[in-house]
Amino acid sequence: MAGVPDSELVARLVQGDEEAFGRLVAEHGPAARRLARLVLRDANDADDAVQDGLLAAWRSIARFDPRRPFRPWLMRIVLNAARDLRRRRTVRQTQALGGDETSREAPPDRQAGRALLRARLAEALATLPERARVAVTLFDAEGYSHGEIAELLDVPEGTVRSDVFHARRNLRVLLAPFLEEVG
Amino acid sequence: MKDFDSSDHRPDPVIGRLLREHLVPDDKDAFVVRMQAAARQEGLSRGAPPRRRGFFALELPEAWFRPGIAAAAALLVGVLLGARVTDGGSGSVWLAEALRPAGAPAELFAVDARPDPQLFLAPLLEAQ
Repeated sequence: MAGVPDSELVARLVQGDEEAFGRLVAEHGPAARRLARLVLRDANDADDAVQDGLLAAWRSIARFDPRRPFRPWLMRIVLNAARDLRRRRTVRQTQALGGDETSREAPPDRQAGRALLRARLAEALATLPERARVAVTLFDAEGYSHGEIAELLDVPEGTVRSDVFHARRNLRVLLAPFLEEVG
Repeated sequence: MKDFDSSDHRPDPVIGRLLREHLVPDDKDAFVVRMQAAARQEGLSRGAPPRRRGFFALELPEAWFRPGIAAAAALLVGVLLGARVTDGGSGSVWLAEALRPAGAPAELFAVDARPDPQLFLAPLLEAQ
């Protein structure tokens, strides 16, 4: 079922098709999880929020306008779910963003390097306000336009541009040693 | 490092790659399974998709289809053959002709004619 458009998967989801749901999760889940982690800064809480968001999206799928793109609609629901979960829970700081998640197949030295980079990235992101974290990730990692992010976050487009600019500048300073290797 | 202006209106490829690669672990498949299980638990999934329901609706008869057709064909042949044998008419003649050993007297296998005892006894009488 590879390459099936979202509109068709959504139509099948309305009928309760679990396989279509799985395809949508596979396609949009990673972006949703990144977004939730930017808000909650805890991997487990973020996945719980994504689960809440995905199930909420399925429950209200009949209200989705199929003429519009699916991902921004889903991301808004996930973002609200993450913010709602943050309000309900005390954010656990003990497990930093992605701190203990490393590739099982990577060799030890590379594994350590990845873990270190991940930890530094988590620290750098933690210095940013939530809105800036979300904005820079959606823009640079997910390919959203400023306008789409503004609509998602319910802020003016100029605010998004400013957030992305400041977030990038801070990340580049804090991650400078790693960026030299990556870039 | 490639110089990239923070005010650039295009996505920053280096920052973007870092964020994509390091924010989510490689457990995509497990996450999909978890979400599907949660959906089932919530009662959102209306059973299995049509392809799975086909096991009872389509696949099972499909498995029985060929043997069923073969059995039906054998039954039909049997019925037709039985009808011809019990018919006593041209069908019986045809069957008797087909079963007759080569060189055997045709009278022995004639359906309409009564068997003549002389035909069976003739070899014995000749031997004596």
